[in-house]
This record gives sequence, structure tokens and C-alpha cells, in this order.
Amino acid sequence: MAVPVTTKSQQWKVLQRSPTFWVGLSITLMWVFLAVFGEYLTPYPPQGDPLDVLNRLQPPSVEHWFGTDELGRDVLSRVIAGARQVLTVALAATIIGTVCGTILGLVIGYYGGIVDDAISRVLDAFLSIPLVITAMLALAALGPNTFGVIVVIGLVFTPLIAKTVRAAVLNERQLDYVTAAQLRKESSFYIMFVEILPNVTNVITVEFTVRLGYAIFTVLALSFLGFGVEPTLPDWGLAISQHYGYLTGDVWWPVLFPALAIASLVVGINLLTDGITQAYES
Amino acid sequence: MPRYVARRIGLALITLFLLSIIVFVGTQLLPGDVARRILGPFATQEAVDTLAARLGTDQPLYTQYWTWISGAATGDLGQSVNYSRPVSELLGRAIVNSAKLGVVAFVMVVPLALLGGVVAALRRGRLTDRVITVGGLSATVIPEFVSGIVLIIVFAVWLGWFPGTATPPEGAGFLTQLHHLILPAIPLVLVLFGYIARITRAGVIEALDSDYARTATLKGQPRSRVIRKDVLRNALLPTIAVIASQIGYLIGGLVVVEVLFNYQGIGRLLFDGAQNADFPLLAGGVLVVALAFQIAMLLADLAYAWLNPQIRLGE
Repeated sequence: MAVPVTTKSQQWKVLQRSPTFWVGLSITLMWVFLAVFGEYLTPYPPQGDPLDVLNRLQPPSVEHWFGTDELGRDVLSRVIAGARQVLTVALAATIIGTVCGTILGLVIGYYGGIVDDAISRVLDAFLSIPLVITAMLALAALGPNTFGVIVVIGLVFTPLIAKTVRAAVLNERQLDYVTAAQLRKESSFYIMFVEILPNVTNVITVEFTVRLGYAIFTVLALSFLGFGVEPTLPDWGLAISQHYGYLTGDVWWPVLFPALAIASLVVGINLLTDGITQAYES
Repeated sequence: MPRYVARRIGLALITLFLLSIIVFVGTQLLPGDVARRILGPFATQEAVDTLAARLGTDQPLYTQYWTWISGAATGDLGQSVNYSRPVSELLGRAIVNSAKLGVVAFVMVVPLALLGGVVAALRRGRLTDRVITVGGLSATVIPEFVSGIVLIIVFAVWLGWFPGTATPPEGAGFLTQLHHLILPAIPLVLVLFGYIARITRAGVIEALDSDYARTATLKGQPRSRVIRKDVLRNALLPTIAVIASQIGYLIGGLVVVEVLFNYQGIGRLLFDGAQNADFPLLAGGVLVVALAFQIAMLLADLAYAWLNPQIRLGE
């Protein structure tokens, strides 16, 4: 077993030697790059042009590397444009979930007792509905829009993150520095956010990266099911659901390329997460 | 043990009660005027009032909750708005279909993942371990509809080995049904494999590092015997209990897989309910799904407790 790692520089050394971390980082950075600069790189405008319909469902060729879709739009351009859509939604949702989950976890972990018991039961109740179904239910009730998806996924992740933070806070609460702060008559707010929070950032970082992967998974599953996306957006999940009916006609390109984009992005983020987790835990 | 069982069942009941309130709020309160949501903006107020009276949504909230939950306790979940049929009847048929798909997935994934986890643990830190661990983790994060689509393209469209839909023709025999269910089960298998293999690997490693395994080795027992008699027996039984807790994920995954492979299961039914704003169907469906999850968790915990002498004998 490796020697316990304590300092940031030692953690960084473990990261540097991890091949999964580097592979994951390169794939993730490639997609981040496309999300930021994609609009300058797409060979055709992703929203296409009404006349494109004359060119619909063309197989991959020199002009259209990934072929064209049912409205004649360039699949490659839409795959590139889709990166920004999924990354912004997933990132915003994960940030909401992490912030709410951290606050909730700090509060129930620090106060404990009846507060903890009561809130933990409610969180368990929420968690016994599969995430996709909770999100689907909320979006069915609230109606579809991108902002709704962000808030719903953020709130759906909150109980999961809260439970992890709570467990970490329970450990910290028994340590001397917390008792010392209590004896100094610091406010509970100060102890939670100034004393305890900096000591549980490792847990929160790992939780954030893991949840980011799952947020992408959930965002795409929901857009595949048709919840929360407008039908013209260059969304990978939506592109698959709009075109998989054509598979029986051997039209595979509008489906396969978005699918590969999703697979490479989630695997990339997952490898990155795995590398970071190993560095913190080794 | 009896005290533990009583406590655990009590907790499950409290959770279920809270959950029924969450489902009630989610399906009756959040949509606002349910009757208006179902009929749309152009329906006359008279039609909306009539539907509200039929659905009972014109009653006070506590009356609505009581009518719904007392009905649910006797198996009456109300009428589906969209299908004009009892929700319980629709759910019953869908659950049988989903159970078939779930069983095929579990029968495939459990032996594979146990084997993968044990092999990875025995070759800890070497290439085989990394391939199984990293490969398993990567398979876990790929959405089911992505792996499902790739499987359909390769095995249904290009090779033609399997049908691209999960629904067999009317009156199909066991083998035909199975043939239709293998391809849809694989995306679920891929997601579950990484998780179960990781738990198995951790359990086997813990057992390998344990005092009893070291004692057996020091007594001169051959390694294969130590692994078979001491390590696997202690590591695998709790793992099997953990597997049961995956039923919650499974039901979520079924939504996507059943939509992709056009299969009339519980996931597909909930999807239709959400699309058509069929709130009675959604409420009943989510309640049943959560009940199934709670029962599976309860059985998993009880099995785990029964296998763990520290809990069984009451510490």
C-alpha cells in the first residue's frame, strides 16, 4: 500500500504519475475547448438552413464528414455545438447540487440529534425514487425548459451530496479544534463554515467531480427522453432520440456520432475523477 | 436480531410515509390545477370543473391525500386519465414485463461481475486489475441509451443477430421472448457490472488481508484452498446482499431502455405518464417503484444482518 498522502504537492505527484488522470484530462479538455470555441470551428452553422432539407440524410462524405441529419443539417457541426449545451447544463446543475448539498450536510452533520434524524429520513425518502424518475416527475409538473432542467437536477443531487458531506462532518465534529471553537463561544455558523468547511473540501471535491459525471449522464438521459429540451437545440441526447427511428433504413450516422461523443465525454470525465479520487485516497 | 428487524421495518415504514407525501405533493400540488394541465389551455372552465370533480382535486388537500393513500393501501390507485383504465391494472402488467427484463439482466451480470471482481482482487495492482476496474467504471458511466444504440446498430442493424425491439410477437414462447430481451438487458448489465465488480473486489481484498486468511496461510494451507474456503465464502455472501440494493438504479435505467427498445414495462409506463401529464398514473407508478425499492433495501439489510454475526447476535 502507498504511503499516506497528506500535502497538496504529494497529491499532485500521485496525479502526475496516473495515466488514467492524463487520458481523462485530455479528453475532457478537448470537449471543454470545443464547448468554448466550437462556434469558430463548426464547418457549417449548426442550426442549418431551411434549404438543407434537399440534402437530408446524406451518408458521411468529404463535404460532410459525419453525414447530414433528417433536416439536412451537418452532423459534425451539431456534435461540436452540442458540447456547450451539455457541459453548461451539467456544470450549472452540479454547482447548485454541491452548494445546496454542502450547506444541508454541514447543518445536519453539525447539529446532529433530532435535526439530523428528521432531515435524514426525508432525504432517504427522496432517494428511494430513482433519480431519472424524480427528475422526469418534476419536469412533467413544471413544464420543460433548460433552466428547469438545471434546477431539477441540482435539487435531485442535493440529498446525495448532503449525505456524503454529513458523514464527513460527523467525523470532524469530534475533533479538538471544533471543541476549542465551541469553548471560545464562536457562533455555530462560524464553526460550520469557517472551521469545518475547509477541512472537508477533499470530500466535496471528489463528490463534485463524481456528480458532474452523473449530471451529464442524467441531462442526456432526460434530453433523450424529450424532457426539458427545445426540439431545435443541438443536443446529443435529443439527436439520438430524433434519429434512431431511421436505423432500420441503415441510416446510422446521425445516431452513432452523437453516441460516441457522449461515450467519450463521460468516460473522459470518469477517468479524470478516478485519478483525483486515487490521489486523495492513496 | 428481532430488535434489529423491528427497528429496520419501522424505519422503512417512516420512509414510506414521508415518500407518499413527497409523491402526493409532486403529482397533485406542483402541477397546480391538475384538471387544467390535463385538458390544456383551450378547454372550457366547465369541462375543467367536471374533470376536477371526477379526479377529486376540488376537495381539500388532506381529504385528497387520505382518499389517495387509503385507496393505495387496498390496491386501488385510481383511474389513469390517458388510458381510462385502473392504474393498478396497467401497473400490474407493466411490472411483469419489467421483471422479466430485470431478471435477464441480473442473471447475466451477477456471475460476470462476481468473477470480474474476484479476478481483479486476486491480481490487485496488476494490469488485469486495472483493466477490469477502469473498464468497469467507464462502462458504468455510459448512459444506457448510448450503449443501447451502439448495440442496436451493430447487432440488430449490421449483423442482424438480435431483433431491435424488446417486444416479442403475440404468444411467443420462452426462447423467443429471451431472444428479444438479451440486447435490451446488456446496457443494464454494463452499468451494473462496474458497481458490483468494485464491491466484490473490495470485499475479497478485505478478506485476503484479514487475520483469518493470514492464519490459514501461515498454517500451510495451499493458496487455492484459502481463497475457496476462507476468502470467497466471507467476501461473497455480503456482496450478494449489496447487489439487491441495486434494484433502485435498475428501475431508473429501465425507463430509458424500455423507451429505446419499445418495451411495455414500468419505465415506459412512467415515461408515458410524464409525457401525457397523467398524474394518477404517475403517482401510483412512482409509489409502487419506491415501495419495491424499499422492500429490496429491507431484504438486503436483513440478509446482510443475518450473514453478519455481529448484528445477528445483537452485539
